[in-house]
Amino acid sequence: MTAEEAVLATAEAIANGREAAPGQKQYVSFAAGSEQYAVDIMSVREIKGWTEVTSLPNQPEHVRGVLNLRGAVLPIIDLQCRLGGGLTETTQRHVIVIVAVMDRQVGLLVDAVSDILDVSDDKIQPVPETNSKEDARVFSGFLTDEDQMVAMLDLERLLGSEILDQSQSEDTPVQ
Amino acid sequence: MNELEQFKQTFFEECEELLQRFEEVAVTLVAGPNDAEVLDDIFRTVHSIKAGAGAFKFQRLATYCHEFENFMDLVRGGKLQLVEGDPDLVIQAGDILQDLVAAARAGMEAQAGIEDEILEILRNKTGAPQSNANAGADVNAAAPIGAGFTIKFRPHRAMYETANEPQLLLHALKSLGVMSISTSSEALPDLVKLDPLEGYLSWDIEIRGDDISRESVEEVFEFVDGDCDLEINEIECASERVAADLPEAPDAADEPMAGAATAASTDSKAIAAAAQSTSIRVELERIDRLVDMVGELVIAQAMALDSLSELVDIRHVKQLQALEDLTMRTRQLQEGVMAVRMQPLKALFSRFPRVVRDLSKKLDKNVRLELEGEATEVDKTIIEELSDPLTHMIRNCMDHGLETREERAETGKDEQGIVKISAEHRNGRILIRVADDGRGLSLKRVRQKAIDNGLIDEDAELSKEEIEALIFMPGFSTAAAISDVSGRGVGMDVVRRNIQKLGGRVTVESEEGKGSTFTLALPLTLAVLDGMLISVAGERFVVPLSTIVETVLPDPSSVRQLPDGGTVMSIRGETIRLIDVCAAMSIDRSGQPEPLRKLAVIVETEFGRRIGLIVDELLGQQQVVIKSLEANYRSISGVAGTAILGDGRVRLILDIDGLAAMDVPRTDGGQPSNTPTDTNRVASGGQSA
Repeated sequence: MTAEEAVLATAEAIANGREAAPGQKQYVSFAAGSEQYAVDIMSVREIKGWTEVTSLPNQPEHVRGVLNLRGAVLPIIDLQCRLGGGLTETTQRHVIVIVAVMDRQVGLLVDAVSDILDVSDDKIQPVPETNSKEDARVFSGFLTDEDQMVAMLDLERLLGSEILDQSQSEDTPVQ
Repeated sequence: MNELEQFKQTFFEECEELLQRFEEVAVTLVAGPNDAEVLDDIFRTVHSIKAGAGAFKFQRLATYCHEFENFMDLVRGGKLQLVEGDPDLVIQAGDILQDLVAAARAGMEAQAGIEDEILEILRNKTGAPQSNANAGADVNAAAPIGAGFTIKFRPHRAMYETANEPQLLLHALKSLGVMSISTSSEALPDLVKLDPLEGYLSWDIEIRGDDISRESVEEVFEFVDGDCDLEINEIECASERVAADLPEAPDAADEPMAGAATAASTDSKAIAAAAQSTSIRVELERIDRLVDMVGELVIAQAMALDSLSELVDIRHVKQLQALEDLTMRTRQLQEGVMAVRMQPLKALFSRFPRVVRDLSKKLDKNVRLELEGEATEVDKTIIEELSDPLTHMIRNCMDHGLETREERAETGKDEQGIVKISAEHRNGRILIRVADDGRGLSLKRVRQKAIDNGLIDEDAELSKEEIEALIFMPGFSTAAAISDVSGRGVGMDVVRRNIQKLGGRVTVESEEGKGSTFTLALPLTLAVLDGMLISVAGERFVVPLSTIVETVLPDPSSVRQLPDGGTVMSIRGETIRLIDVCAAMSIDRSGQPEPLRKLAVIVETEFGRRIGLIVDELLGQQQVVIKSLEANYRSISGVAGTAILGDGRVRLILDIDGLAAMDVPRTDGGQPSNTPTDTNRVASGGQSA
């Protein structure tokens, strides 16, 4: 799906109140790198095509910069890079999924939006125990859709550490 | 009824203002003769609140005001002189008035009996000279004076149309004897149906006196006979009394601040009131929305201009002029809207005399408060947020800064200590200073304290300025004794944090034995900034114009590398540090041509220290709308905020003091921790500040 198609599909899904059967939820799935990810449709605020961002100094590599979205300044996170992959080589076809998390808005840079999924809770498999616990925490579960694994993102865990101020007293006058 | 609620709201807002004024003047009261204006002010406050309280049927408040008013009336009329202790009594009475108003506002009953003690004292004081002084005022002292009349008086529209003024009639009536009066607003329709030309109010009057004849009463109303409903009845027995504590309506109309009844009053009064009122009340939220909208408009306007400028050339002079005009007007609109939010600091400063007065008693210190620059205007939000930090700083000055009486005597200082608060505009910022002429900071003690608390190393070499700054560090609690005055577990670090939240800074200057001066530097407004747009390696940044001193083209011979990697420049005999913005902002310069000669923008930090920012190019001045980075992300050192520019792109606003404190001054682009061999290229990953 291109950004425009994704926007239309998402808008349609919300407008029609395609309220799936009880116990089911809707997710927006998207591709980043070779993987598929999904987030709850209710947390998606907007989907837009990639535009140049303003980079921020001395930030982790996956923080691509900030963007002006109708007067608000949002950080853009490179999802592939955040999850341990390399930096995304951005083109016009890349997409920013703007999500709301913890009263803030954050843009996720992904390759493309894939689909809108109706999923019942019992279809989502818990994350198996692995060695690298830290990474596994950003997923809330896995869904096997046709023959593809879709990782469900836990946005608070994925972005919480990015957007909260941990450095309160960084500018003390004496070092 | 919605209108009534609205009037009530207005009444309470007025109470707030009145009480504030009360506080302001009440502290100037002294035993003995007082300034007539001060007494008038206090009287008027109490009186106006009484009027409103009566109109809204806050009986307890009205009764209290009534007694208080009696007392003040006597004082004002010179029939009673304030003796030792009376000024405090008035202030206390004001406190209780405030409590009662607060309770009424919250729709609750104030704690039972809080006013009793004061009322008792006031009554005792007014009691003595009461006999001839309380003309018509005190109806509680069931005046057993002769016979009298009850009068019902309801003017018709025609009476107002013939320019008769009920107030004058009532005044004339009052001269006949002891009068009590109540306004009946029963006939008042809903505001939507109210005809401003119609007379709705009527008055129930009771007048007593030894030699009042029916004729003399009728005479008063002679000229309006037929234009009003008038009912005059003789009182048989002097025991009954109606509507005791309701306000005297005609007097209430005198006051521009009076209650609802007057607001919806008859035409002549409505017009008079309109002429008096030169301001309106608007919810802050509405103004904020307007400010936001205008901010967006400025951006949209700049964006439109930007995209059009490619199409428009010299052949389109007219269009260019139109655009120019639009730009100018947009800017004017923005300035106008921002000005709505500005308020004089007086509202804030007026609280302090009271703080100082109370505290000097508690601490047994003789302190004089000097205020300066009260008329300085600042954004309302900033004013609100300043109250706590400033109060704390005053406490701090009085508790820790000023010596005890004995100490002052020993050092040959005047027994009276001085706390001075001043405000002024400078360089697009507002400076507020809190100064005392006390003992000043003892560098030795501050240093020792910081070492004891593990804030600095024993052998740390610090300048005077740096030692003074230590008192703002968390964990540095000044006086050894935590007193209940300033040691409430809140230190100067909280003050500093509050001020920083507003985009301001606080510094201290002190001379041992002579006193200390705390300086707050704050932005005038939180929303817009005059900035200089600069470019570095293809990236653009905004430097706050207020910090820029000058721009120079450094001569290579005047620049020196330091062994630690830093760079300094000599300018007119002064040696200043240079900070390469490219390195500090970790910009990748590969693929970008290095300019032949870079510019140094000399900026001044809040500490007054100068540093030079190395940039490629100056792109010009622009007013920008500030958008916080923290709203959706987090703060970054060296960055004060973001701005959206004409092209719709976000640009970072450089934080000069932040840059000066940053540890990346190296012009070779390396970061001290992970010196890369590949110069001019800084790894952007791995470092989450």
